[in-house]
Parts: sequence; C-alpha cells; structure tokens
Amino acid sequence: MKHLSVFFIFLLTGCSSTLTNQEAFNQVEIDISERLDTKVLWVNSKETEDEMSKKVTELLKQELTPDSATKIALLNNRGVQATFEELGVARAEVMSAALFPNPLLSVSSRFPSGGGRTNFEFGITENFFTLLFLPLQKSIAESGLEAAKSKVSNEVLALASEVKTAFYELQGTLQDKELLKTVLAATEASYVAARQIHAAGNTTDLELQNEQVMYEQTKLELAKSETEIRQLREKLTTLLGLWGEGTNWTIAERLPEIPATEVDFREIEKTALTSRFDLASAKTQIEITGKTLGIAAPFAVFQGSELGLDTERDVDGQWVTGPNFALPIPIFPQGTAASARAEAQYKAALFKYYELAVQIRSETRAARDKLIGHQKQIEFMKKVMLPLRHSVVQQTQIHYNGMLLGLFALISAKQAEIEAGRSLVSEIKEYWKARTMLERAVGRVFPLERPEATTISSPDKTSQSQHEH
Amino acid sequence: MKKQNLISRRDMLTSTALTLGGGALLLTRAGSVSAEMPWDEASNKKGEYAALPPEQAGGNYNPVITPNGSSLPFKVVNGVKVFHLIAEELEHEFAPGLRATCWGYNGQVHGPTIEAVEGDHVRIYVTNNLYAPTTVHWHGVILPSGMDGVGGLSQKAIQPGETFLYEFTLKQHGTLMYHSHHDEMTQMALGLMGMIVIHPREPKGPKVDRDFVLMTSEWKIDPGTSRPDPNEMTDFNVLTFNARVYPGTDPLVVKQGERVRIRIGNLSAMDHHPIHLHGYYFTVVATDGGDIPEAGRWPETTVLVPVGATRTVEFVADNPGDWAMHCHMTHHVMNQMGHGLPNLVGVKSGIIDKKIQNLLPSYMTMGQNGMGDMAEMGMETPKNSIPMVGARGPHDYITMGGMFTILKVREGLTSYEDPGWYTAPAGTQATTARDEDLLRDGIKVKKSPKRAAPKGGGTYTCPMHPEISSANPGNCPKCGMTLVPKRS
Repeated sequence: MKHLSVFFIFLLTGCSSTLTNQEAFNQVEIDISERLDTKVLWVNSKETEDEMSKKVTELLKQELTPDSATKIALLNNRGVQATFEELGVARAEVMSAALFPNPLLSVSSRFPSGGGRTNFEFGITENFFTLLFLPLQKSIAESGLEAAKSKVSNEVLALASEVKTAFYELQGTLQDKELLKTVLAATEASYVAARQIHAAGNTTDLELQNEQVMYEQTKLELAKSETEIRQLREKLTTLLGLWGEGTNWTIAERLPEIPATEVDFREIEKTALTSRFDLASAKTQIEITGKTLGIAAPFAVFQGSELGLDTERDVDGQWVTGPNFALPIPIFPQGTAASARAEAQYKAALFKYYELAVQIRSETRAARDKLIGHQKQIEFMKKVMLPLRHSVVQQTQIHYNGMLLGLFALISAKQAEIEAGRSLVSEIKEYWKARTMLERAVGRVFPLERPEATTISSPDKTSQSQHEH
Repeated sequence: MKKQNLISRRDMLTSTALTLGGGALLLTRAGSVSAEMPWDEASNKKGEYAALPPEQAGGNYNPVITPNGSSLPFKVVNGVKVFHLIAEELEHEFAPGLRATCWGYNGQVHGPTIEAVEGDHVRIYVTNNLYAPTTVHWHGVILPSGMDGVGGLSQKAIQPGETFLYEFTLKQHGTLMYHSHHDEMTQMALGLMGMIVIHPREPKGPKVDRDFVLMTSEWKIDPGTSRPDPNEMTDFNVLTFNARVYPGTDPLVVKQGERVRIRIGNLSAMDHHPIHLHGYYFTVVATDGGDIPEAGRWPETTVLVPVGATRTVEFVADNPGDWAMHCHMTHHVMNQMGHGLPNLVGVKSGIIDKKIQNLLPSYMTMGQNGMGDMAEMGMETPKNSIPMVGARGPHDYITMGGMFTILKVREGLTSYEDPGWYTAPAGTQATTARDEDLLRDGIKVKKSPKRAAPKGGGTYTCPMHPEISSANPGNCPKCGMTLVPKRS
C-alpha cells in the first residue's frame, strides 16, 4: 500500500497546465488590439456580459462609423464568441495532454475447488509509455493552443474586415441614393415641362410619353436602390449581432473623404507575412507535424506498454507481491506506417506554408495596386471630369439664355453632371472597400494619419514567451 | 447677230440720243442696245474717250452710296482706269457684339464697290493675299472669255501671293457684281464678293439724287464661334445688307422729294430675297442684264432678288418718316436664331420653373410669349454672339435683326448724317385708343386690368415683373433677373 500511495503522489505532482481561459485569451487580446486598434472581449461571465452590453449600448447611441461598427461586432457578434470557445477546447487539450493516464486497478477473486483460502488478486497498472512521452505530448498540445489562438485571431480579423466592407457598401449605396433622387428630380422636371407643353397643344402624345418613360424608369431605379439598402442594413445588423431595438442604428449617408495621407506601402509584403495569423497558424502546423513526427514511430510500436504492481493471496494464505511489465513485441512494422504518415503530413504542412506565403504576397500586391488605381481615378474625376461637366452645364445655360438650346438640353446636361457625381461616389466606395481588402491582406489596419513609427509584433515572438512558464 | 448692221445702227442711234439729250423718246429707248450688246468688240480699243480722273469723277456720274462700305479708289493712267483689288483674310464686325474672321477685299467685307463709266477701259489688278488660290469673276460684265475669271476654265487660279491683271473695256451700264469663282462655296461664304456699278455715258430718264447700293448675303456663324461655316447649305443664321446685320446697318438718309435709286445684288449661297420697302411703291427699272424698257417696268413694294441677280428700283421720296426696308422672309430678320427648340408659346410655366430651379437656380422658362421680350433681358449669352438682338427704337424695342435697314426721309435736311428718329406729327401717331374715340365710334372693349402702380419713382424695372420699380440697377427680388431701364 505504501508503494501505491507513493505512486499516486508521483502521478499527481506531474507537471500539469494551470493555464486559465483568460490567460489563453490574453495573447489574442494583445494581438488584436495591436493590429486593429480595437479591444476584443470574451463574454464568458456575468461581469463581461454586463461590460459588453454597456459598451455596445454606448456605441449605438451615435451614428455608426467603420470603427464603432467594428468595435460593436467584436463585442457582440456571437459567431466570433463561439470561435473564442475553441481556445477553451485547445486549452482542454493541453490540460488533458499534461495529465497522466489513470492507472488501472484490477481485482479478482477465485474460489479453490479443492478447499483452501479464497484467492484474491489486486493489481495496479499504468500505461508507462505515455508517461515517457508526456512532455512531448504536452508540447504538441501547446502548439495546438498556439494554432487555436492564431485561428481565433484570424477569425476576428476576418470579421472586422467583413464588417467594414459591409459598412462601406451600405454607406456608398446610401450616398448614391441621394444622387439618384436628384436624377429623379431632373427626369421629373423634364416630364413636367413636357406635360405643360403638351397641355398647350405644342407637342405630341408620343413625345410626352417618351419623357414619361424616363421619369418612371428612374422611379423604378430608386425603388430598387431602397430595397438594396434594406438588404445591406440587414447584413450589417447580422454581423453586429444586433436584433430588436438594436436594429435601429443610424449611419451617415455619405462616405468619408479619401484621406489626405497615403497608405505607407513600404515593406508591405513583409508586414503581411509577419502580421497575418493564417500564416502563423500554418507555421505552427509545421511545428505540430514535426513534433508528431518525432514520436510517431515509437508511439505506434510501443503503445500499450504497461508497468504495474500486483499482489495476490494464494490459496495457502500467502501474499505474493511484485511488479509487472508488459511490452508489445515489435514483430509487425507498425512504426513504419505511422512514420511515413507523419512524414507526409509534415511535408504537406511545409508546402502549404510556402503556398500560403506566396499567396499572401500576391494578395497584398494586388490589393495595393487596386487601391492605388481607385485613388488615381478619384483624383482624375475630381480634378478633370466633374469640373468639366459643371462647366458644360454653365455653357449650356448660356446657350439656353440665347434661345439656342432648349430646356430639355439644359436638363440633360445637368443630369449628365449628376451621373458623373454618381460615378465618383461609386469610385470612392470601391476605394474604401479596396483599402479594407488591403488591410485584410496585410493583416492590420492602416491608420488614417501616418504614425511616427510602427512596431510590429509577430505571432512567433509571442508564442515563444508563452512557452516560458 | 450680224455685226455690220448692228454697228451702223448703234452709231446712228447713239448720235440721235446725244442730240436729243436725256429725252425720254420711246424710239431711242426702244433702240437702246442693252439687249444687243456686241460681244466681240476688240478689247484693245482704248482711248475712245478719256476716263476722267478721280477728282473729276463727279463730272460724268453721280457717285453711288454703299452704306457701311465705300467705292474702290482708282487712278487714271493714260486714259485707263486702274483699280487694285487685294483679296485677304480680315476680322469683320457684323454688328456691335458679333465679329468674325472673314475673307474680303482691301480691308473690308464685302469688297468695295467698283464704280466706272460705260466705255471706260479698265485694268483691275487682283492680288491674292489669302492662303488659298482665288479668282475674280465679273458677274454680268460683257468681256473676253479669258478675262471672265472662272478658275480652271478662263484662267489659272491666282495662287497665294500672286497678282493677276484683268483688262477690258466696259460696253454696258448697269448694276453688276464681282466675286471669287474658285471654290465659290467656301470663298463666297466667307465674304469674297462686291458690287459693280457702271454708269451710263449719257444718263437717261429723270435725274437720280440719291443712288444706293446694297448687297445681300447669308452666313452661318454658330453663336460663340468667330468664323463663318462655309459648309452650311440650309440653316443660315446671319443675313446681311452689305455684310452687316441690324442694328449694325447704316440707315439710308434721303431728303424729302429726292429721287432715290436702290441697286440690290444677291450673292447669297442658297436663298432669293424678297426685299420690301415700307411707305412706298417703287418701279423696277433694271436687272443685271440691263435697263428694262419703260413699258416693261413694273411696280412693286417687294422686289424678289434671285441668287445671282441684281435688281434696281427707283422712286421719289415724297413720304417723310422712318421706313423699314428688309427681306420679308421672317427668319431673315432674326439674328443667330436657334432652331430645334421646343415650342413654348402659350405654355403655363410656373410649375416648370419651380421643378427646374431645384436643380438650376438661375433657370427661367422663356418663349411663352414668343421671342419679343428676349433681347432686353440682359442674360448671359455665348460670347461673340447676338442671338435675337435688335435695337431700342424711339417708342419701344425693335425686335428685328438680320437683313433690315431703315430709309429715313426728312424734310429740309442740310446733311445726310443720321437725323435721329422721326417724330410723327400730331394726328399721325398710332397710340392707345382714347375713351372719347371709342365712345364716339361705338367700339366696345373690355377694360384691360390696370397694372399695379409702380412703387415710388424708380427708373429700373424687371422685364418679367413690371410692378417692380427700383431707383438703382440690380436684380429683381422676385426672379433674380437683371433690372433694365424703364421705358419712358
């Protein structure tokens, strides 16, 4: 019995993880706030729920901005909260990986047929092979936790990106609707003029109806725009995790102006490679498969090895006690298969990592070029096209004054100016969406003012610090 | 035609005419040879009589008046009249506010009137200072084929920088024309034309006191541009007397009782012009073919001048006043009108204004009352253009432009300067019918609603809102238009 208790104590004092959910989440919080400049909250207690509620209510009092919408989503979106729980799952894996397997107690009693004492047998066995590889298994599970953190952070960034894209899409459509209303006013003015001219007997039914067609067509376009706006609102509401009263949020009906300072495109690919969590995840996967490769063969071969202690009361009343040991005999080469599998998985992880890196670089360049493209077009439209259209309207008015052009020509010119304005709004909307896409590609937001110095923390450095405890 | 007989008969008749002076003998008239012009007389028959030098030009003819223009100066060299025409590009004013780059002669558009006397031997030097080849054709002049001026046919075209010499003897009298006959569509559309007046050696008929020359033409000048478009075939918008539009046309000033002759030549691209004179009937006395025999002359108030023809009319100015003279095609007395506009006559426009002003605050519907009110509104129109512009007359705005001028007949004039506006003597002025007249003649009319009395004694008002009155210029408080001086 003494031996047993010693055995138990040895088991219990084994190194086990005392990592809490919150501690696991800390790194995610740090990473997210560094990249998005936003706090993220894991709502897993009454206090955090109250805190979150209060914050969201506060944010909803104002008109939504891309920043405030992102903040609300990160606090309120239940989907991302579900993702946080994956950390719990990974943490449980670490915990279970650090735990010794429970020893097996066996008891048997046999009754001699020829008389004598009842034969009792007690035994305790422990899967000792697992014991040997416990630290390595724990290490693998810890890598798994790192991978989970990266995955969670990546999900958060993806959500933030989705929110901003939905936001700009909605805002751009709202701004376009205002201009579309002006187009409607123009077609209405044309139609009203045609009606009055028709009433005086000066034009045909056909000419009147042609004007009416353009007017009614524009009404239709406006109705379609309003339907689309409702759909886009719903999309944003869903991402923000709101319902009931919460769906009454307001938003400015104008896109923000293009920022005066440009995005810092220097070393943008390098930033992307160091900031992105899916790449960090892929790297951790290499670690995991590498570590697994280390124990795959022996694990496959020697799994089931046991070490134990048993005692038996013989029929003659004597207690016989002693240790026992069981080991599978490696006749069949199970290890090779396991090794081969582990190696293949390791190589696959390597290739996947490189592929992702190439993809990320390409994504980043493409997103940057798209952003620059939109920026240039906006500049051109502002400097050249819109002033020109305005000038055309003025000149048309001057010709109208001289009764050289009619009022329909004047309204047409004005309409063309408004359409040019709509094109500009569309371009500005695409700019902001492209900027969001670039932020997604690079894995961090760009401040609207250029900072003095940027410090970039990569997932590698932080996971290192986690290992030291 | 038999040469021998003609020459002898002509000699006989002209000598008879000389003896009888300016007598209106039917025989002489019938025998006048304008219809039987010998065409083959040697062109080197100089010195039949010596042409009078410029200082003595008044000696054997009464010089014509080319309103807004002048006659081509000449010199006499060994009895030959020598002229120099220089074809060149220049800037020309059609009326104040409308200038364009045109082609003309000797610094003017159209070219100066060439005046000579029947029998003169003339040398006309033509220098081409254009950048395109040109020629000059003497429209209606009887001359040798090689002097006719048709590019390619009669002569080589005059290249830029070259000077050609045209030389011939004038065997006729009458009103003729000269114009480019190379790439006519372009060159004439840009202004290369002028009048020729050949005075008879022995004038017949009553003495003419005032002899005017008018050349009609048509142009396409897009408002806001500064060059006529020679490609236009149907939609001309600038119609001119001597390359001017009203209010840029100088009036024809005449003393009451004078005999007036007006020679009209039409070298428009496509349109004949019915020229109408108010206050008179005149007699059509000649064409570019020559004098019309007296029995054949017919009376008109409107003489149709076909393209490529001249018509000369005469009358005695016994009716004093300011008399409009103009082409009677209504679109030809508008300046740079636009076409293809919606018809807005009679349209109730209040709601139109409201709807459009949401988009264009300075918009105002125009044309509901026709075009009459437009010119005085003072709105900005394309630069270098005079759409619909007329002039302020003594009573009101004269809503005319284009091919329009005024014959001013006054009693006891001491000079032919513009005498100002005519004041109709009492009893000869159309004005609002007085109540006593209506009553006496039993005319029943609805009383027109009294317009709101203007506030205060202001001197500026809004063309659209007459009830507005302001002491100072500015903008109408109701519609924002520029205020105009009140009509006295």
